[in-house]
Amino acid sequence: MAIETDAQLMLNVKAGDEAAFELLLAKYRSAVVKFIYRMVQNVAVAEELAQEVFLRVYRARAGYEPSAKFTTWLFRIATHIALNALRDSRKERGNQSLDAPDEDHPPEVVERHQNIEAYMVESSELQEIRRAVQTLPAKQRVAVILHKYHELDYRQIAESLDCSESAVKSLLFRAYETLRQRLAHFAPPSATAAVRGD
Amino acid sequence: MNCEQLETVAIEYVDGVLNASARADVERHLAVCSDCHARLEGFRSVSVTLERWEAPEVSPWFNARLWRRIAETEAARWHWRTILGAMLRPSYVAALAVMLMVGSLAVWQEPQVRTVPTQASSQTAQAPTRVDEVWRVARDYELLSDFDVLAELQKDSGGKL
Repeated sequence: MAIETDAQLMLNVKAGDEAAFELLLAKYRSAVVKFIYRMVQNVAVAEELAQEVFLRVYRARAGYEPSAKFTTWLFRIATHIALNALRDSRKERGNQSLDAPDEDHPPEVVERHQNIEAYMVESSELQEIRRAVQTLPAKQRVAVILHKYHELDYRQIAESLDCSESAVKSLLFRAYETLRQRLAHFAPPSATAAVRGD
Repeated sequence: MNCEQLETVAIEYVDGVLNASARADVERHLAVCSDCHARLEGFRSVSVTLERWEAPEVSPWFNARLWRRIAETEAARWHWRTILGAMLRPSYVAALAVMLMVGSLAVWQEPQVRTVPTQASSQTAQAPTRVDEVWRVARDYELLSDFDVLAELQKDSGGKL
């Protein structure tokens, strides 16, 4: 059987083929959930928003035209939903912000660790990384996450964020500069020496 | 190349996507600028650090929940489409147009009927008029709106009485 492209699968969905939608779901649900999780840093909210992304994809099937790469279109929807959720959470008074860390759901699996000390150290480091990313402005966060974890190129990130490629490079530069300062103590000795100018 | 120019290509340099000529330009600058050298080393270090952050896997009931939501939204859309489709049938539209025409004719002719002085109309003049009814409702509303109990109820239900 020939390997069908994502765009072809989506065209099959448009023609009423639900199995094609299942294939797209199996291929991309993990990526979408992980992307949104890193944006909102809350497992339950990330799953809920990822459901919204795929619901929109399904509802948009009738008007789908393969004018852009499927992943670009998918992450564009996911980006809009994540940014809207962050904006709405800031507006809500008295409720816990999505920007606040999800303390009920430690991000990593405890069972992997043989001893509690190693887990505590790693957990603390991960919390620092999460907080450093969380403090980035929302668009810088999108750019870093799509660039680092989903390997989208600059053009795809630009389409997801409705901006130019040079704006994406600028967002990434500023984000990495902020993270470099916040996470300087994670740097290997050679990089630390370089930062100090030794 | 100076420090400001390096900023525009720094990410591409770290990603390894610059062409040979641009890469050579960057490397010539890095050889003489320790600040930029430290910055790009820092970017590489950040990239390695970020790899430690794993995200949780999708819950096993993700697909089932999604298909249920899809079924619900599709059912709701089908319901509205059916109602709108039925309302927009030519026979329904024609019937609605006839009803509107008859209604507007009745309203237009109503004052002419009232101008004819009959015994019945003189009797109705002594009966409570519509204006009287409106005044009575207005008075009742003012009275009821002063009740403390109603005000408390309104407060409890968030003003949705």
